[in-house]
Amino acid sequence: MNNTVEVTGGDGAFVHIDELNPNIQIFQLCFQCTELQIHPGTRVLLQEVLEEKVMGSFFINPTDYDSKSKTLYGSYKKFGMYS
Amino acid sequence: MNGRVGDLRIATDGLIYAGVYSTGIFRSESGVSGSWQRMNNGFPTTGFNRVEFAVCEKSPNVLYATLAGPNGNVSQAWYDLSVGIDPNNPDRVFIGGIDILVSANGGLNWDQLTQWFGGSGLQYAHADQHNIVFSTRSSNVIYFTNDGGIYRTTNGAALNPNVRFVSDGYNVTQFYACAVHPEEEQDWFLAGAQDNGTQLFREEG
Repeated sequence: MNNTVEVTGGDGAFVHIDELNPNIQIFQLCFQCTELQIHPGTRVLLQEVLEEKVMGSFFINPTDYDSKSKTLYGSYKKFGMYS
Repeated sequence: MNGRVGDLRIATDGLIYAGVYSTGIFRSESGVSGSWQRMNNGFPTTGFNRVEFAVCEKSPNVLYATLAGPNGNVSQAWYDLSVGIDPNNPDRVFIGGIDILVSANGGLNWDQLTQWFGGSGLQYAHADQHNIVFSTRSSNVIYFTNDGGIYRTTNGAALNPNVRFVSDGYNVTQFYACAVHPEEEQDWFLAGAQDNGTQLFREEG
C-alpha cells in the first residue's frame, strides 16, 4: 500500500468528494460523527458522535452525498434516514 | 448446561470450565453431559452477555472472568475481550478490551498499559484485544493479539511492561468506503478505515 496522510484518526468510515467542487470533502467516522473539510485547511464538525443507545446509531452508518444539492444523506437504525 | 459457549478452558488440575453467554461459568470434571455445575460463588446472575475467563496455571483454584455488558449497551466487549493470568503469580492479571490493562493485586486496582488513540502519553498498541497468551511458565514473555496483529512484551513482570509490535509484514487494513477526485490527473483518493482513520492517498497505483 502506498504511503498516506492520516486525515482523521480513530475509526474512519464513509468519505465523499464533491464532484462539482472537489475542495468540499466529507469524512464520516463511527457513530455518525461527521466532518466537513473545505480544502485546504478549513475543517468543520457537522455532527458529533451519536451513540447507539442515545440515537439509535450504528457503529458504521451508510451515507451518500449529492454534489448538486450539497446534501449528505445518511441512515439511522431501522431504516431511518436523515439529510 | 444450555446456551452459547464463548470460552472453554482446561485447568492444570484437569477441571474443565465453560463460559456461557448471559448465564455464567460452568465447571465439570469430565465434560460429559449432565456433569456441568454452574459456579455461583460471587458470580453475577444477570446483567451481562459474553463471558471470557482464564485460570491460573500455578493456582488453578484462581479464576478471573471478564464480562461484556448486556445487549443494547454501547459497550463493544461483545467483540474485543480477553484476560490472561501470570502463570507464576495469581495476583498479576492482564485484561484486554479496546486497550490493555494490568493489575498487580488481584484486580483491586488496574493500570492502563496501552492506548490505541494518540495523545494519552501511554505506549501505543493497536485496538481490539482478542487474546493474551503467556509463554510457557514465563511471567515476562506475553503475547497480545489484536486487530493490528501481534504484540509482545519480554518484561511482563515489570511495573510497566514494554509492549512492542512483532508482526512486521502482516498487512491488514479494513476499508469501508473510498472517494475519488473528479478531475483527471488528480491523484487524490480518500478512504475510511476501521481503526485507521481516514487516509488520503496522493500517489497512483
